[in-house]
Formats: sequence, C-alpha cells, structure tokens
Amino acid sequence: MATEIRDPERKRGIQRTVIWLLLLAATFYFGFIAMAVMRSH
Amino acid sequence: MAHAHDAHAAHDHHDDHGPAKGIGRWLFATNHKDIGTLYMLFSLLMFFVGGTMALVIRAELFQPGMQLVDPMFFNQMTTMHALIMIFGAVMPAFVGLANWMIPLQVGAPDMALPRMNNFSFWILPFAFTMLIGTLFVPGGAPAGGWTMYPPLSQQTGEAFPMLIFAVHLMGASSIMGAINVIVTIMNMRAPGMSLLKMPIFVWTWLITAYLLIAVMPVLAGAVTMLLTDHYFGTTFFEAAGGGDPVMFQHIFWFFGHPEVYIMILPAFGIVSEIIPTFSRKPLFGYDAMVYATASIAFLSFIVWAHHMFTVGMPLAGQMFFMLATMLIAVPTGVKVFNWTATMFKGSISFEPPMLFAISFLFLFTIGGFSGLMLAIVPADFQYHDTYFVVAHFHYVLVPGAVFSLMAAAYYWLPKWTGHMYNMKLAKAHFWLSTIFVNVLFFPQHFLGLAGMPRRIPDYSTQFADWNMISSIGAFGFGLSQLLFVYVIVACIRGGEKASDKVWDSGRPHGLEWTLSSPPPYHSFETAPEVK
Amino acid sequence: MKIVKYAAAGSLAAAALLPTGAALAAWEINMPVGVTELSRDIHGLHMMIFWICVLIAIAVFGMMIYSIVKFRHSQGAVPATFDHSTKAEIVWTIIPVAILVGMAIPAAATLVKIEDTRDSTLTIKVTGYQWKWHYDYLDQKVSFFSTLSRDSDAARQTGSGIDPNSVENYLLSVDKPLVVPVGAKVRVLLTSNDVIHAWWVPAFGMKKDAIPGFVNELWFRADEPGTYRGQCAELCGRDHAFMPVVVEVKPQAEYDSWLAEQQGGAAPAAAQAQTVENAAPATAAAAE
Repeated sequence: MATEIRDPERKRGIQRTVIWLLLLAATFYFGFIAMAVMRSH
Repeated sequence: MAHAHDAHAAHDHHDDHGPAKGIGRWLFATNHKDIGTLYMLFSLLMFFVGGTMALVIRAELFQPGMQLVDPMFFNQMTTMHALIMIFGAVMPAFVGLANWMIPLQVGAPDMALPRMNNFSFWILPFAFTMLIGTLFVPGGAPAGGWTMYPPLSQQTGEAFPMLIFAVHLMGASSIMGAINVIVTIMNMRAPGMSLLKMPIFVWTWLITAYLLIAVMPVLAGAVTMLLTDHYFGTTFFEAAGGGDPVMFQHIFWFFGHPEVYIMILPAFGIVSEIIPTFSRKPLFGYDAMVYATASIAFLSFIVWAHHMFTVGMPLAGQMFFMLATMLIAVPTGVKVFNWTATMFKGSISFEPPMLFAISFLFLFTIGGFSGLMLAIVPADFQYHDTYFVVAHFHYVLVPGAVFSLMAAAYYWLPKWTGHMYNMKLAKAHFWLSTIFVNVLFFPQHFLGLAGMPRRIPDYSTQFADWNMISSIGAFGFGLSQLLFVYVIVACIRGGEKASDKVWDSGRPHGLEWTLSSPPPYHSFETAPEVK
Repeated sequence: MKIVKYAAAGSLAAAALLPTGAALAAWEINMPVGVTELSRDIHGLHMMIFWICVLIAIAVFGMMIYSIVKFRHSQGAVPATFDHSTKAEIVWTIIPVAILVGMAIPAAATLVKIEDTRDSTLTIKVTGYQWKWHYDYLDQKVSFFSTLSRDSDAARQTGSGIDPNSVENYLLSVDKPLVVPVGAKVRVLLTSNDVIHAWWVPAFGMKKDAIPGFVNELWFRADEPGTYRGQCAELCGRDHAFMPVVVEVKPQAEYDSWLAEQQGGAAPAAAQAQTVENAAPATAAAAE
C-alpha cells in the first residue's frame, strides 16, 4: 500500500509536527530572553 | 503495485524522473540526495578552511617566540577555526548524512519538506561567506573565542554584527534541518516500521534533532542579547549597568553542552551501523542503545555548568554539576560496552569503514576518560582552560565525530555513487590519520597537565618539546586529508561497479541496501513493507 | 615523580637566580604536585582518577583487542547470533555507578575544603587588567601592578629575533611579583577592571575567574618558600598570553621586612605603579 507524499492525511500530520516544533523553538528563544530580562532587574 | 502506480501517475503533473540539467539542479535542488551531497561537499570545503586555520595555529606554536603572526590574528584563528569546524564542517556533514540516509533508511521517497531543505542548505554559503569575510573588515575577525564571552566579545570591531548575523543564519539553518528530520521520521516511515524498528542511525538523528530545536534558539537568544547590549543600550551582561557577564556563560553553555552531543550522537549512530555489518553479527542491545542515547540527551541539559566551574558557583551548584556530569559516563559506558559485545564472537573484517569505527571506539573512549577526569571539580580547577581540555575535546571531536564521518563516507560512498573506491588508498588514509591524530593531540594532555593554558600564541620554553611534536602531527594529519579528497573524487568519477549490498559480509541491514547502487533518483516511490 | 621533584627544585633555584626553566621541566607529562595542601589533595584526586581510568581502559581495550584478534573473518571465525543479554547490561550499568560513587566522595570532601575561606591571615585583592595584574594588600595599604618583565616582553614581539631560550623564565616573569609569607592562609579576592581573566598558580592548585563587577575568592597556604609561576587562564584579548602571575613565598621575617619597605616607601611604590600603568614596565632588576 503506497502512502503518497501528497496524501492529505500525511500532509496534515506533517503540518501539525512542524507547528509543534516551531512552537518549541520559539519557546526556548523567547523563554531564555525573558528569563534574562527578569534577572537583570 | 499496479494500484500504487496509478495513484502516483494521477498525482504527478510535472513528473521528472531524473535530475535537472546544469547548475539549476543544485541551486533549486529539492531532492534529498542532491541536497545531502551539497551539504557534505560544503562541509568538506569548510573542513579544509578550518583545517588551514588550525595549521596557522600549530605553525605559530611550533616553537616558543612569536614568529609568524600577531597575537590578535592568532586569536582570530582560534575563534574562526572553532566556529568553522563546528558549524561549517561537523554539523553540516551530519545533516548531509541525515538527508541522504534517513529517507533511504525509513523507506521514504524524500524528506518531508524538500523546499525548506533547499533553503536550509543555501543559507549556509551566505552565512559562512559573511563569517569568513570578517577577516577582511577593520578590526579583523572575531577574536574573543567561539564562546563569545562578554565583555571580551564586545571589543570585537566591525566584525561584531557580522558574527552575530552569521550565527543567527547558521542557527536558522540548523533548526530548519532539524525540523525536516523530525517531520520526516515521524510522518514518512514505511508501513510496519515502528519506532523501535528504526535503524539506530535514524534514532540517534531523531534525538539529535530534538536537541537542535531546543538549544539553537537558546544560542540565538544569547547572541541577540549580545547585539542589543552592543547597539541598543541594554545591559544584560554588563556589570556596570546591573547585568551579569556570567549569565551569558550559563545561557551559552545551556546551548553549548547539548551542542557537544549534537556532534556526537549521530556519530554513535554511524558506528552502531558499521560495527554489526563488519562483525557479521546483530547490534548488541539495540533497545539499550536507544535508551542510552535518550539518557545522554536528557543529561546534556543538566550539566552545562561543568564548562564554567571556575566562575565561582555556590558549593551546592558545583556538587550538583559534578555528579550529573559523572552520571553521563554510565549511558556512554553502556554504549562502549555494547559495541564491544557486538564485536565479541563476531566474524570481523577490516574494510576502511570498520577501521575508522574501531579507531573511533578506542580514541573516543580516551576522550571519555579525560572527560570523566574533567568532571571532578577540584581537579578541574587545575585542568580548566589548559591544553588538557583542548586534548579532551579534540579527542571526542576529531577521532570521535570526524572519524565517524569518514567511516560513514567510506561505508555509504559505494551506495551513493555506485562505484567502489580505492581500498588501498582508503586504508592508507586511515593509518595516516590515526597515527597523526594521536601525534597531534596526545601530547596536548601532557602540555595541559604541565600547566600550559589554552588559547595562547606563545608559551614558556618548558612547553617547547611537546608543542613541536603536536605541530608535526598537525601537519601530518592535515596533509593526509588530501588523500581523503582524492579517494572521494576518484570514486565519484568512476570505479568498479558496486553491488546493491556493497559489502560482501551479507549483513548490511536496512532498507538502503535493498535499492540499487546508486539508488534511483526518487527512491521508494512505493513504500516498502517492513516486517 | 622524579620529574616533579626536579620541577619543584627548579622553582627554588629560580629564587636563587640560577639557570632554570627549559632544561628542567622539558618533556613534562604530568601535573606537578604543588606546595599547598589543596594542590596535594588535587594531585591525589587526579592520580586516583587517572589510575581508575587506566584500569577500566585495560579491561575495555583488552576486551576490544581480544575480540578483534580472536574473531577475525580472515581466520574463519563463525559469528554468533546473540543480540542482547539483560544480565550483562545490568552488570555494566551498576559497576560504573559504583565506581563513580567511589570517585565522587573524596572529590566532594576536597571541594568542601577548597570552598572554606575562613580564618585567613592575609587578604589580597587581585584585579585583572588588559593585560596585567593589580595586587592590593587590603589591610597593609600596599598595592602595585605586576607586568610581564621587560626582557620577556622584548623577546615576545613578533619577529623580535631574540631567542626565547636566552630569556630567563620566558613569559613567566614579572617586574614586581606578589609576595606572601610562608605558612599563612592567604585569601585572594578576585575581580577585574575590564574583561574576564583567570588567576592561576599551578603549584597552589587553584584557578579562579576574575570577573568585572563581581568578587570571587580563593585561598592558599604555601608550605615552602620559593617563586611560583602561573598565567592568566581565561582568554582576555590580544596579550592574554603575556600577563603571568608570579608569587614569591618568603619566610615571615623576610616578608615583614619586604612589607615594611613597601609601606615605608609608599610614595615610590605608588609612583612605580603609575609608571607601570602609563608606559614601560618597571625594570626587572628592581623587582628582583
């Protein structure tokens, strides 16, 4: 059974994973800057 | 099968089964193999650029006294050597391998996000042009060490914003590459390939990619704050304005320690692929290997301060980071023992990839031992910032990460090109590399213990003898790598035809060996079944 | 260990202005034992971990070499098919944990001792500058800069043509060393005026960062008179390699007279410090 790369269900899965990973990256970026901002007061 | 073909034809409107012609194939590459090749060739180029800088360093250190360069230029060389080797040579090489091998190993037609893949590669030439371009701006290249500790890094001249921007670009590239890897592994596996059936190389890269996504933004945050301190009047790291220079070190090493594992976990994966093949025996303790990799990744987030024991931390903090660091020896030990157990009662042959893997096993373990010694805080007060540290991390990075990359190249090159390479020359390359890498780095242990600090362009005469030996090793090692390039180029251009399995051990496992050598431009258009 | 003794003898000889350095410590391969309790403890820890690593290496490398030699395909070895052994894996998880605990206990004990800076008899504030050290005897009202000695400084210029071997204690001598009494617990307060430096004397076993805006502390008690040499250990810019640390440990009486001299000539001392700051280093001869 071939699962096509453009299979809509797989496409949704890919989009979901990408969004979660981008959120993770953004959290670390802004999280650390926010932490530094709080510490420097 | 017929059904699959129909579905395929229905979806493909602009089907192209071969590579595009000319430069366009590379500029607009979306094929995982082409992008993998680009990554690896780029990394090879950077390996020589960074290596040349290392040779400038070793030439100046050949004997006491300043003979060749200004101390400022020397500092630029150490800084640039590190940045180029880490971000330009080692990391892109692993990403290139991931691009080539992950789709083949999980039975996918390509990476999940081919256009982003193109973007993440093509950022790199710009980032490194800018970074290397700093050598020609007023004030010269960054000279405050690749760790960019403020306040020193704030003394960088015109190169400062270029450095920050280059680091941001490299980070963006790595994050995109990592997202692509995770998305591919999570969504594109062949039916039947559960997580615990994935090849170990795929596993190590999955974990590495998570590390990348967690820590590259932290580095980006740290350098963003350096930038705002420099230009926008913030004082995150400036004591005069109520900031704390040590906080930068905490943030930097929160990135920096996982970064170390980013460069070694895929190496573990490669070695775990190669040793079973040439021992003709399955990998010992697959599950344990996966769990050990995951534990190392987890621990890497709670040991960062062992890079900075001398900054003056509270006693409890020093104790915690010492114990956590020592704990890493346990999963790492499990790995070394498992590799040994894989060879035990095997039937071992010594093709070039296996030679490099065995060398990795011995020399990486030596780097592990010195790492354990460095974890002991009181002893670290002596070792810290000496050549002992330089010896330690070069042992894990050169005969560790870099040897694993050479092993990978020799292991999969016939699969990629369809040609066998010159075994004799590859073995000569192996012996020269292994001998010279030890001549180069082993004496640095002695220098460090005897009291030679790192990052100095000139030294007291008592260190002269071992420095001379080390420099001889450096030039020997550097020149030996020309042989590596020759073997690769010759293999790309032609050679004896490689079979699908390539290695006659009959044991190379994994889906990549079910394809022809070289594999079709679009591999696994129809997903294979994994039982 | 013989080499280490020679090295120690070397530092003593330095005080007596005898030829020293290169010939004595060449081909050195190990950490010197040092002259303080802490440095001896640290050296002991270092050797203990080193030998543990050697033992583990013999076992692990032995097993690897045995496998490589014994199970060669070219010798017709037939591969076994086993792929795990829970028992073995438990064993080689637990044994390392036990070894690590064995290492951590003495390390922790030494660490506690290192951090105990109470009951010092002398407090010196050390400030890092690009690229020299400033020493301030807080209660004695004595302070001065310590800069790379003039002959080293001349020889280390790019293309100077001066053979470093002809310079005594090349890069490890200063115009005006730190002077402390033997047997006294000296507390060092570290800070910096510009970038981060690190103050390190290997014979004392101690290294700590000098950070602008913050004060770090370390202590040492030297048991033997002599001249002990170290360097800045944290990259601090262009001349990072050229700001050595030299400490002269003198018997109490000699220290007292040195101190009296410094205090008596407070004005000259200040003037000298000024000279150091502004231009050429004070003469090496004056320091000797």
